[in-house]
Amino acid sequence: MGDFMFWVYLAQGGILLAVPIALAALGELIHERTGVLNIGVEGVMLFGAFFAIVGSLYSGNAFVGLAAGVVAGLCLNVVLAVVCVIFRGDQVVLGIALVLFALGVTNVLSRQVLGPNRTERVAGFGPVNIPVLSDIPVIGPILFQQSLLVYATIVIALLTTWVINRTPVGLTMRAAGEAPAALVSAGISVIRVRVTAVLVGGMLAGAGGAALALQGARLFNENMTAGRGFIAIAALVVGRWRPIPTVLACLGFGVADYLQLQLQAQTFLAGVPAELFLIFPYVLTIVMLGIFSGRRKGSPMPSHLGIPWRGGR
Amino acid sequence: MTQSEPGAALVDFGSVRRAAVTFGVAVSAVVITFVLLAVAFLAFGVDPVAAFRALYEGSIGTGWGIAVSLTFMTPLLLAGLGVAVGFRSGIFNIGVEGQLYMGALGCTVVALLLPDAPAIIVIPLAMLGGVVAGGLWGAIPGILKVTRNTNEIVVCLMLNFTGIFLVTWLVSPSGGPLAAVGASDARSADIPMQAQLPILVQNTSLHVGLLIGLAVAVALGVMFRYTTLGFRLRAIGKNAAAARFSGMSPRLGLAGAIILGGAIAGMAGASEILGIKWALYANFSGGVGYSALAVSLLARNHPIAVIPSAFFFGALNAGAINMSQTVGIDASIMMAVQATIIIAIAVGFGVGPWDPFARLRARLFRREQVHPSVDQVRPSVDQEANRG
Repeated sequence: MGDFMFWVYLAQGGILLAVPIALAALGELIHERTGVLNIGVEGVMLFGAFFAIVGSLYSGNAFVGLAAGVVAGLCLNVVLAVVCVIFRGDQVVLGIALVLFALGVTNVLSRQVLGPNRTERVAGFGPVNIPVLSDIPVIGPILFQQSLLVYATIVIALLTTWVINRTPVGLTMRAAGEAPAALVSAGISVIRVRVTAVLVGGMLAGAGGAALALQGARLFNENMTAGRGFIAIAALVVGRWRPIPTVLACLGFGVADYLQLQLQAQTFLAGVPAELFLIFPYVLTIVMLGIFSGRRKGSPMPSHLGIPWRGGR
Repeated sequence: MTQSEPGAALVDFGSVRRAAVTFGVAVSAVVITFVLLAVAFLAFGVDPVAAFRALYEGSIGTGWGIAVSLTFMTPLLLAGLGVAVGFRSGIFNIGVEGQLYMGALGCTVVALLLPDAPAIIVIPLAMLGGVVAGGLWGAIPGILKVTRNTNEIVVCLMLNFTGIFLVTWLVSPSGGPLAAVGASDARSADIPMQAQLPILVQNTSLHVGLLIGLAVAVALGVMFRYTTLGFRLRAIGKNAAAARFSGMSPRLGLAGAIILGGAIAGMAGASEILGIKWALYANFSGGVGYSALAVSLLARNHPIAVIPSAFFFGALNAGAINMSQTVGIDASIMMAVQATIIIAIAVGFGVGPWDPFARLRARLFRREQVHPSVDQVRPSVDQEANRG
């Protein structure tokens, strides 16, 4: 039974750790489908995580923290929208700048603003049991004894799939990424579509950072995202730019992350150092990328991804 | 992308104007950033005058400051060149941080394996170890790009984390294979005395690595300007389709450029270990590989211009340490400063500078249209390269 419970905990913990990455990946997906790449989603998450902690610390309410994280993510992506969409700056260059900016600003602010409160645990999101369903064996603990953000992520993923694939809004978004000139012919502003998508994506990435901060440590550590934003971008490639497969890819990384944390405590691996397990998700990402790229024709990547729109409105 | 001027047969005004524009954008970016920094100081309740004075005295205001600045400049120079080689050839080498760690690792291993060799043997061999290790780390995204068409940016970022954690494990005091015996912090054994790079100025940490960096910058400048290889790499970077039709292989060129960039970044790591650290430490770089991006962009990816750019950022880092001690602002604010400079430059080069004489020139030379915009920061080479 002990072995069996390990698998239940693996699924439960994997889902919890996947949520921040999945939220960021869904946000990234929304604007990548319109043709805007944000390599700096790592920085947006870090920003979201920091301001979520600040918000929760001063209000004592996890939802205020979440809102603060969402707004912080939005603010960083405003910079992306202005520089890359409106002023047509290079998206990769700006993305790296956003990472550096978020690192520097959160490091300085965590000393200036949080100061002595830095080690205080703030109000966060704990598990919420859904009545009846949570009592089902196996499935109950895995799916229905989770934090609110887990349920929210599932809803957002389904909603994103529906909007992108089944609605006129989704068609407009896909057109901005695949054939912006066609949008212009239809009288729709490419710039406006992309700016909107970038702002929505920023809110989701900020929420991802907030989820990381408020579900897990409940305090701010310098560089606490530790590459999760970059893994979100990789999840998008593995998920071939589709919401549900992308979320499943994030789940894979979440499970790997949980394994990494748990294996350190396993006795049969006592001699193996922790750092080797820290490497595991990153090497896994490289291997996955090597497997899932490759096909050159019919690539699922939006064909105008990363290319600024220089045509008229 | 900038058309040649019909009226400029004798003197190439185009290139002069381009250089002036680059300089103008770079200087404006720095000025804007410093204004924002002053606002940030005011917001934190710090006297901006005192803060900037501390920044100045810690960097270029005193002889000691200049020596510290030059010491900080050394890894930034080599790492910046590792980024610039990639940019010039149209590939985004953001894996410099990982390549730097691998270079440091390769160099440390060689130096520790040769405890009794004289300096003339161990220093070149250890540097070579760093160059090879960095180049191999750069070869991973290069080969994946050529064979599997994998996005080099994400692979490079993942390899950064892999390289950093690999070194952390190797020198971990709890059983890392390279860890120093009996040390409490995460570090390797000291490299032999004779493997240390000579000091340039007495009583400072300024070491020969700076001269190596300057030599590499000049060599790369010559390569890009005067050799066939440099011409090919530039051609691939500017217009991959045209390069392919001229019989070059853009994909091989890109792989070669990222391997070369990795080798130079590995040299940066090796020079840090042999010149100033004298042992391999976990997390010894503190983000030099990412700052290198700002160094290269401010220099518009020109190898020679990387020299003053690296000095500028080295001086900023040196000044920031003095500033954090004097007025109590954390030195990591310089990361935000670098980011702001990058953002300002991205805007400047994305929009293209405002050219008040464009209309006049257009009339004089009877041209339909004038494009005052300079080349993009990064030539969009990917799609073309993939076909070749």
